[in-house]
Amino acid sequence: MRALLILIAILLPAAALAAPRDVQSTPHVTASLAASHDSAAPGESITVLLSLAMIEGWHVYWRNPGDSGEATKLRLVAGDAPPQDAALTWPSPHAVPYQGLVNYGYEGEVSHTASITIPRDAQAGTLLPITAEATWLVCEDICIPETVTFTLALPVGPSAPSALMADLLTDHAQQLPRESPWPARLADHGETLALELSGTDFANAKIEAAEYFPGRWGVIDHAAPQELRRSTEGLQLTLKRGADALGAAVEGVLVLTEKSGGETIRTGYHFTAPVVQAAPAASTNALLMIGFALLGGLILNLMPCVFPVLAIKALALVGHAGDPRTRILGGLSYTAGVLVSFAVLGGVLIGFKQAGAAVGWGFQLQSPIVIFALAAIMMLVALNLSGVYTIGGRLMGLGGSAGRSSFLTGVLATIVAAPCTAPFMATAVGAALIQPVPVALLIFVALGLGLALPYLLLSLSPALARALPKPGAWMKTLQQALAFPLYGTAVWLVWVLSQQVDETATLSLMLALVTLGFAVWAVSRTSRPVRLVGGIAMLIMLGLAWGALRTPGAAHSVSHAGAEPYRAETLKGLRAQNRPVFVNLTAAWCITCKVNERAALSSEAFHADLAARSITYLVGDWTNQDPEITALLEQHGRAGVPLYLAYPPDGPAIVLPQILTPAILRAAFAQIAPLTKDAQP
Amino acid sequence: MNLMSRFGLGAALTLLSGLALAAPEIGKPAPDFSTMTTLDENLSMGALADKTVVLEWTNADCPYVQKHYGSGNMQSLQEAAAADDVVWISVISSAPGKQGHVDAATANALSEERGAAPAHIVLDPSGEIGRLYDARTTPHMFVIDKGTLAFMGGIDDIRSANPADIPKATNYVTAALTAIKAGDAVETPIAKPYGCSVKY
Repeated sequence: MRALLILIAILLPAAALAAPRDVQSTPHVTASLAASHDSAAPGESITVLLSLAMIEGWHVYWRNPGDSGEATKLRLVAGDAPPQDAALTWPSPHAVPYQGLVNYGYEGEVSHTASITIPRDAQAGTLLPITAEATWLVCEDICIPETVTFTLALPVGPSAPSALMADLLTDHAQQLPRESPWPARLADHGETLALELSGTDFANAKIEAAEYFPGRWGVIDHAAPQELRRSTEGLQLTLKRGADALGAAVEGVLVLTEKSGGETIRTGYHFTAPVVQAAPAASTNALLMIGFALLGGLILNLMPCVFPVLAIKALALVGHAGDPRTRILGGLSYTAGVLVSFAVLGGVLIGFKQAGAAVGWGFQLQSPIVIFALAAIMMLVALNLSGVYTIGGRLMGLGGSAGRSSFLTGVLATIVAAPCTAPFMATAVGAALIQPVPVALLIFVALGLGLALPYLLLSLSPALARALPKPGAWMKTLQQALAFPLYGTAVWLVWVLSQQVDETATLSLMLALVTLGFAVWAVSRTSRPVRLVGGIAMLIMLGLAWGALRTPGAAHSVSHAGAEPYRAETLKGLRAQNRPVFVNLTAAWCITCKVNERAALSSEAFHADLAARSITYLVGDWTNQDPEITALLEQHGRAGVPLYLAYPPDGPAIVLPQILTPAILRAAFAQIAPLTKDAQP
Repeated sequence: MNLMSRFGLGAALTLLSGLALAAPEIGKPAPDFSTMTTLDENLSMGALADKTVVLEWTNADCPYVQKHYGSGNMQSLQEAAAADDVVWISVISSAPGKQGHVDAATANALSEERGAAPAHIVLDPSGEIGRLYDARTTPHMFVIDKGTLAFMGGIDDIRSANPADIPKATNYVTAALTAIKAGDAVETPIAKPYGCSVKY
């Protein structure tokens, strides 16, 4: 659509458009300059639109052209006024690579606007001559600087904006970067720079690419790859520093490409980030970090989740105090179990990171499925300690072959350690993931070693083993007591779950846990029918869990005060009554939607305008791909959100642009509904 | 390239670059190289360790280079440099088949034609010297004072292909050479390079 409009701007003969226009061609570029008004008053500021259409394979440049190249310039003269170098608007750029260098610019076509003021002494009824000299560098493999001169004759008189130009200008405005709503800063790590944006919109968003374009040369190495990392706190882009000094702050544009349904949306966000000094990236501190990981692993043993497991294992040692071989084998297998589990965990996280997924320990624990699974495991282990069932007894090493059971206990200890250590491990894992792969794996293994160390030492040292108290009834009491920290952990996990899914799902999952308890109890009875009942209970539990977790990521989306949920029936009913309606189709993972909501759809003025014009506001939440919303999207030829529709009392909907401003909304509302007589906007 | 092979490649490159720096830095020794000039003479940066040297990346077909040669600006810079015993080396890093690639005979003929006066012209079709200095544009200028890099970047501060801008612009190379001659610090050691991209 945009290409079509630019083509129209260039190809329509001047006579068809009342607004003054001039077209010039060079061998590589067809360019046009058009005024926004059919006529303008003396002293008025109007807009001129410069459109460039390059032949295939050639490009022109952004205001920071990158490694080489030259930005487009426009010099305007209105009547007798002195020439002015126009301040052009710049649509979001693209990275144009060439042989290891990277430039910033535009392929295909681009348009820019500039302001020009009609001199105060212009005579009404005359034609004001406007000349404009446009210079650009157009390149493919080789570069050619080109200059063209446009001449416009603008009638001076009453101000008359051109309707066709208004459409082209709105379309142009959609290509410009919008002001970023997120706080940003640039952390100087010496060799690398980290651009950090804070916000919660990024974690669940479907971002395909993030590209940062600094406004001036020398801030970053334009050709270096930019590594993206996301978390629930925000977004981080690792950049290689450029040749010049950074200064106190850096201005630029971050372009995010996000996937929405079947569509791709590319939006630029403009901001100035203050530069902060940060610790040098720890590429030389690998050894230090491994040491910290070891220490961290040791501390994990004190966590309420892990401590019971450790204590039970220690109790098992008490039983084997006199048998060194079993004891040592047990200790080594447990350690092996822990190390292997951590290595696997580390490998999986690193693998995800390689694949480009947003990875971080804390982030993975945002998944309700993972949380529920951990809560279930806590329950199972705690119930075992409470003596509700004994099948798992071997797992705890209170009987059975020392080697295999100890290994499995090691694995269990790792799993059970997971939720309690999330806040702590998040930092370690985050730090580990920016290291080269071998170092990252070593850090994970060191963490595991720290976790296994106390028990390993206990099992290897006869002196320590002898120091343990003699077996007795106290063991059973201790075992039962240790179940309670685990119950506590399960409860905490359910609380985390309740933040992530709605109330009904939380209830289902709590019932599922209870059913799980019953199921394991029943399955471990000797009586066959009871075991059968247990099996059925297990299935019920799975059904409950699946039903509640079926739609993961059903996070609380932005609360839409004053809005009704979109339903096809509701819209149909309102239309039948000739009522004006505003429909907002959005999703929790759509960044463009979130930014629009913040910029235009949450303000008091917005709600007041809706009320004043008696417009019904419907919000369609497509976070979980609702078929009715999909149908409405398809009806308007779209495959993804956002979609903003303003329905007049009769006639088709007005489709609003994807980047909303309060001005666009006000204009649309004014078009579909007059102010009701006793209301004030 | 996955992280593993990128890590391996990075390690290999770091080892291979030996004493030379991975990227040129102001105040540090300028990257060393040895090569043949278009007059079949041996040229080594090491042998010029006691001189002031100017490296000029060039491409005769690039409009930005033509701006400076067409107006006589580059030639007068080269003559002034020669008078001060500054060694001016023009480097052509265009790859075979790309814009600006010439053989030794053509390069010498072009030089004659334009009245250019570099002390040496070096052909670098493999791009090795260009990448050693991270040369990105033509023209891209480097001023080396007794083996230490004193200036790198664009030739002046008006980024255009219009010869009329030359008298209005501050010439960074002249400024750097003047400062070095007087024994002062170079005021603008890094400037934004502009021009066509080097055709590696």
